[in-house]
Amino acid sequence: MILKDSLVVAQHELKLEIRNKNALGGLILYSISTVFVTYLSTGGYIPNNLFAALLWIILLFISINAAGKSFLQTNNGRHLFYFSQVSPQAYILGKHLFTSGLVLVLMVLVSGLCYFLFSPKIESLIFFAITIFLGSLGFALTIGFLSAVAQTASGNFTMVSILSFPVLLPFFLTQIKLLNITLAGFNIDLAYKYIGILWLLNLLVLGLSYILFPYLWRD
Amino acid sequence: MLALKWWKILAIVLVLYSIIGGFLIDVPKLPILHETIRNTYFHVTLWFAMMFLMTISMVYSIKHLGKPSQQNDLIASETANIGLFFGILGLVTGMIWAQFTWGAFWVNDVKTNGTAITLLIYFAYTVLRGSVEDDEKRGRIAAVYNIFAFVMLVLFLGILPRVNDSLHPGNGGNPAFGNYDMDNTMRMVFYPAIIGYFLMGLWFVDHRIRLKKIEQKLTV
Repeated sequence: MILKDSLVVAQHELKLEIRNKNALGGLILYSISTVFVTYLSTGGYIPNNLFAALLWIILLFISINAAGKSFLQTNNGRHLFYFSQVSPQAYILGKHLFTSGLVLVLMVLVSGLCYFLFSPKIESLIFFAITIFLGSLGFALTIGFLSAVAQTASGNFTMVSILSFPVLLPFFLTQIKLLNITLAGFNIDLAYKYIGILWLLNLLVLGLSYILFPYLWRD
Repeated sequence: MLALKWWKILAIVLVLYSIIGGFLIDVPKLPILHETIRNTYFHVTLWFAMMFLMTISMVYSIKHLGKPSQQNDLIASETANIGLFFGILGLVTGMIWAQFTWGAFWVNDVKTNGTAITLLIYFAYTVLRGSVEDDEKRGRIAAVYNIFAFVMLVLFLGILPRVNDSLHPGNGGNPAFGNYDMDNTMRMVFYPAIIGYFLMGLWFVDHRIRLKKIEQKLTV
């Protein structure tokens, strides 16, 4: 029941996003220009560890822009509509599904672009892809949930960044470490360790938002 | 009127004891650390007290979500505030210590960064509280964020040392006040100091809550 409802919510969000092509196009353009600005300002020749750090900083800002809006965009009327139709758990899961999809698409786009522009030597392409996937999941879930908190609090966008930056740091640092080892000195044991940590963090955020969201919802 | 409860007297006695004892009682002579090992009695204990206060704050946030009441919300917010205050004190004592032991006020060390993040999270918590006007709503949102952030923080403090090595005493082969190097005379000051600062923190919290209640009475 909850799963079915959440799928409906995600579908609904997707429809709205596609209907509003300006916002989606704006996000994609924002991502591409951020990468290009970084490329021009660094000259394209950067060491591996700097590449990993820059990539995650770019991805962080893009996901804040993409996932941060997820609740701020929802106006009161639509909120009320969902309130009458689905349970809060289904609603947050649906939102999570949609934002992680959106962030994943943007992240794949950005990291692909970075790959072509900076042409880093990647030792393990599969683990690079896994890192991007897990990272997008973590960013989308955390920022999505905190945007719900910010929306109930004051509804301004700065609040999303204030709330999410410190909380995102565990993800951020683990992802940079993981990316670093996929770029140079690949070590399968270490990679599995970091992937395990990332899964743990993702599941925790998912669980916490599932439990805590109903309390935000009562408005 | 002097109506000091027993635990308040205990707080005064223990903190005084830890300051006097911390400066006067003999400490083991360790390389690198030398006499700066005495900072254990202040820096480390303040942070223990901070973590206890933050845990209480989280527990009362959970209580507040289960059964909303102004009292629960007040305790949660004030313990977080006083915890933040202790955190800043711990950071300052740690920075002074680092200047003399490592040669810089700030080094890129996991524990140092962990603290910076702790402080950022709780500053964000205060900003969040400040941004909501309605009392009932403020308590609810702040409680949700408090629980979420605290769980992430604990996980972070648990994970980080496994991902990086620390410069701190007791990590990566540095001489420590840890398990092996802290002798029993040090423990005799260390543990009472933790309890003392913790009780002192509770006392501050008690005062702040009473102050808030009086403020509310005056404005209504």
